[in-house]
Parts: sequence; structure tokens; C-alpha cells
Amino acid sequence: MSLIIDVNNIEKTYTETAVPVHALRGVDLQIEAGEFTAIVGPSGSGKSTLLNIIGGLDVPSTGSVVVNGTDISQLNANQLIDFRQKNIGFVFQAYNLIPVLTAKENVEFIMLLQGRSKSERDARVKELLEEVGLMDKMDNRPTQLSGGQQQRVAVARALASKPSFVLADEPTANLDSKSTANLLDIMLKLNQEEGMTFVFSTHDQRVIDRARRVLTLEDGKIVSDIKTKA
Amino acid sequence: MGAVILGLWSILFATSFSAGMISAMIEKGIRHQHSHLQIHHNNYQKNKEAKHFIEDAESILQKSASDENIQASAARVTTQAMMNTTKGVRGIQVIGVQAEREAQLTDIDQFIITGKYFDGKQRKPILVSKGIAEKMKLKESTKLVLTFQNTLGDISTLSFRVAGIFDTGNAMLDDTRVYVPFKSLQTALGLAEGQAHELAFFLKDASELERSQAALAAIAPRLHVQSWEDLAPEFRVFEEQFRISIYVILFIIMLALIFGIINTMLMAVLERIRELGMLMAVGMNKRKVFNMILTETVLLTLIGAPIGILLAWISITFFSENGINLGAYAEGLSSMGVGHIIRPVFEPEVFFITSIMIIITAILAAVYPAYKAVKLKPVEALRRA
Ligand SMILES: Nc1ncnc2c1ncn2[C@@H]1O[C@H](COP(=O)(O)OP(=O)(O)OP(=O)(O)O)[C@@H](O)[C@H]1O
Ligand SMILES: [Mg+2]
Repeated sequence: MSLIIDVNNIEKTYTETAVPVHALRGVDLQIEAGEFTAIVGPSGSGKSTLLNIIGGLDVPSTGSVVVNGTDISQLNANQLIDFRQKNIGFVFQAYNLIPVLTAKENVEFIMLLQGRSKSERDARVKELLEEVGLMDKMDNRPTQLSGGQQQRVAVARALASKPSFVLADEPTANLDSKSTANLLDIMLKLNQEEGMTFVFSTHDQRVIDRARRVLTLEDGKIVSDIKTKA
Repeated sequence: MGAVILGLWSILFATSFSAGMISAMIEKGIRHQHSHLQIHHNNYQKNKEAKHFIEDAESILQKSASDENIQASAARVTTQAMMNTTKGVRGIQVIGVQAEREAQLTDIDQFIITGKYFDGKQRKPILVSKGIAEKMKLKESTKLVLTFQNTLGDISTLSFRVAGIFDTGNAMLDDTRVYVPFKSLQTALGLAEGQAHELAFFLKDASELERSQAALAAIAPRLHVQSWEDLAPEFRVFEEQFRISIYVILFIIMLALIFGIINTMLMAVLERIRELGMLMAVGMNKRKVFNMILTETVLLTLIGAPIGILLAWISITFFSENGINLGAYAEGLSSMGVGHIIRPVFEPEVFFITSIMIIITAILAAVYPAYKAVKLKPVEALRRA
């Protein structure tokens, strides 16, 4: 298996606040292609901070993050945006679909940014919506979809750009248990059938139970790293 | 978008309205006061003395008739005089007019409010203005005496009876003059048959003014032929002021528009802050975000602009046919020499410039919100609820 994320001894201190906040205090982490990894830990332990830094949305105070062989702390703002577009899929807790676009268009527009051809886009949108089970909702706008359906569209969107891995910060936090189970089914299927790597944070024990590797953060440090299944 | 519509409409309408007012004033001034062209003795404008008269005035008038473009013309004799009534004395300009021709030329007969215009039957008739009649307690057939110097430098005295009282609406001018029949003043001034101080010409087609002016200059080579623009430099000043005030209004509206657009677009940016955060997180670069906001604003303006222009065009066309009745302000207006019905004038040039300016303004105003959007940090934008 090849190493896709290599986090080396990163620290993150927020200094804009009155009292500096040490959100991460020396985190080392390697993630290989094909992993299905959950990051867990109490509120304020630094899960979001870690995911943001891995995703190139935020920069560490010290340490380095190497993604697919590129040290992303060396990239400038525009290169970083470009890098995210090509390498990383994002799923957000609040779905963040564009309200004026249909499910199909929400999945499609990333490929538009990448400059893919119409036929390629159409084929990929169909394939992905099929995989997340929303072919019949293709022309619905986000407001016409349930939270679970919206998050499935968001997963399809994250995969549309053919990233090397997907980062999801509490993707199920807003979902009921049925939708949560359904989303997890889809993510696992994509992981097994397409070999897509997922890294996500969660509080939900049922989600943790289905992860293949569970990293526990406490107070900005990794306190345990358990690989549950082979 | 509303701001764009309103801004464009108001600026275009205001311009056309003021242009209408100015052109009404100029038109009135030409029609009833200055005519298009006037001829004087070379020294007359410098020194309005009776001795600076035109030797062959009548023959010039006859010759000028060959110009098809001259619709009406008349000769005048004029002098400064002291006017004596039972109520007192005042200085006044006395104008001797050719009854028929003057009526054709300036419509002075239309403005008689009491009594009658010259009909050839009255004895020693004089026309005085409403203002003077009030101040000097003059009524129809009141007697008055004018004292003035004739061309030889001798003092002459002539007595008159008020035949009519006139009111052209331009009180400032009216109250400086009285009208008497041409012949009586010509004789009293010691001028011979065919001599006069002033010749005035009203043209059929004002755009041919220069040609007609040249034709007159050819007929009257040693005389001073002037157009209304030379005779009434104040019109130029008005036009100048009009232009300045248009720019001031334009500036204010542009400013209001800029803030309106900035406000609208900032709101639009704030409303979609999470959407923008997401777009930047998944890899929409800053240039694209910037262009997106800019494009939205331009589209908004491009939708608003034609509506504003169309509305302005409709209301201007409507009012230029029907006129805007400013009856309530008629008094103030008439002292400015303007009637109380204003017809806005459609000025294509102003329309064009304003429209372009507003669209440019809108685009400039879009830059700030777009810049704000670009400055957003995706993590922070995403965290906002
Ligand atoms: N922009 C920021 N400025 C200052 N402090 C911050 C900022 N973002 C996070 N923190 C702080 O850093 C610490 C870690 O926050 P983080 O959001 O990573 O925790 P988390 O594990 O994701 O928590 P939760 O489970 O509640 O989402 C917290 O103490 C938080 O208050
Ligand atoms: Mg978090």
C-alpha cells in the first residue's frame, strides 16, 4: 500500500485569541491508500483542526504535511487551491450544496472547474448518483432533498473530481440513525469497490464501529491508534 | 438593480427636464425678444446713442426679403428717455415699432392685457408694461410725457396717451421699456424716412442661421450683423450652468449608486458566505470567485440599465408631447423667461454618456464586494452558520 498522507510532528496554536489555544500538540500520522479511518475524541480535542490541516484549508504552526509526495506547507494560496481541487474530496457536516443548483449540477460543477468534457461529466455524474442511489433525484434542488440525501449528493460531489482521498468532518452529525447507516453503507461500498480512501471525524459510536482504523485525539495529541479489521 | 433603474431614470429625466427648460427659455427669448438676427450701426452696441442709426434701414429690409429663410422682419428706432407722469419721473427705453411688422416678428400684440395694440387710429398711443402701469398708476388713456435727445443733440418732448398695457411674462425686461409707433419717434429723433436703429429678423429654419447671417452681411456690408447668440450671451451662461449642474447631479447619483451596489453585493456575499467557503475549499480559485461576483453584478446592472433607460425614454417622450405643467411655480419661472409648461428634451448624447457612465460605475462598485469575497478564508467561511 502506498502512503498518501504523511503528517510529521505538527503543532497548531491559534494566536488570534486572547489566550493562545494549543489545538494540536505534536501529531504524527500516516495514512495509506484504501484506508477507512475515523478520527475520534472529545469536543475541542482538535479533530477539525487536524482535518483542515490535512486538507490544506489551514496551515500548521510547525511540522509538515506531505500529501501524495507534495509538502503542502510549501505551496502558495493559489497552488494550494489547485492542489485541493486535484487531490482532495471534501464532505462537510452541513452538506454545503449550492441551493440554486440541482443534485446533478452540484455534482457536475467541480468537473466544470477542472475543465472536463461534457460527455465525461455526464457519464461520471450518472455513475456517482447511481452509486449513492439518487438517480431519481437528479433534477431536485437541495431543498427538495432530505439531509441524508443531501449528504449523499455531497459524497458524490467529493468523488466527482476523482480525488485520491476524501476528508469528511463529522459527515453524519446532522443525520438520523437510518440515514447515517445508509451513508456509511455507501462510503464503505465506495471504499471497497473503488478503493477510495476516507478519513472522517465523528462522535457517533455506530460510525466508529464500522471504521477500519480509529485514531483517538485528546487535547491535541493522538492517544490511541487502533486498526480493527485487516 | 432597483438602484440602477432609479439612478438611470432620475439622471436621464432630470437632464432632459432641464434641457427642456433651457431650450424653452431660449426659444422664448428668440421668439419674443431677440429674434435670430439683428443689424445695427457699427457703434450702436458700444454706445446706444440716437446718432448711431442705420442710413438705409428700409432698403436693407426690402433686399433681405429675397432670402426665403426670413419669415418676419422689422425696423425699430429707439432712445433713452425720461418718462414724466403725475406720479413722478423715471428713465426708460423708448422703442418705436412698426405696428404690423413688429406684431409679426415678436407677437407683442399677443401680450396686451388691457387696452389695445397700435391700430393706426389712436392719437399719440404708447404701450407700457404691467409693472410700470402699477408703479406709476397708469391706466388706459392716462397722459404721459417723454423727454429725450434727438440726433442733433437737441432736447425733444413728446406727449402720449396709454393705449395698452402689456405683459410678456418677463417682468424684468418689460419694466425697462415702452413702445410707441415707429413714425412718431423717427420724426421726433430727427431721422429721415427709411432710417432706423435696429433691424431684426426671425428665421424659418434656425439651422440655416449662419447662411442667412452671411446673406445679411452681404446686403449690409458696413453694419453690425449679430446672431441671437451674440445678442444674448446670458443664454450661453445658462447652458453652461446647466451643464455644470448636470455633472453635479450625475456625480451625486453615481455616488449613491456606488454605495447601493456595494451594499447589495456585500449582502449577497455575506448571505452566501458558506457557499463561497465551500467553493474555495473544493478548489475554485480566487480569480474565478472574483470573476463570479463581478459577473453577477454586471448582469444585475445589465438587466437594470435597459429598464431604467427605457423608463426614462418613455417618461420623456410622454412629457415632451404633453408637457409638464408647473402652474404652481409659474411666477418664478416667468421671471426667468420660461413658460409654465415644460417639455423635456430628449438628448441622445446625454443618454449615451450617462448610460455608459452608470454601467461603468456599477462595475467599479462590484470590485469591492468581489475583493471581500476573495479575502474570505475557507475554514472561517465554512464555520459561519
Ligand atoms: N479559529 C480558531 N481560533 C481560535 N481557536 C480555535 C479556532 N478553531 C478551533 N479553535 C480551538 O482549537 C481547539 C480545537 O478545536 P477543533 O475545532 O479542532 O476541535 P474538535 O475536536 O473539532 O471539536 P468538536 O468535536 O467540537 O468539533 C478548541 O479548543 C477550539 O476552541
Ligand atoms: Mg470539529
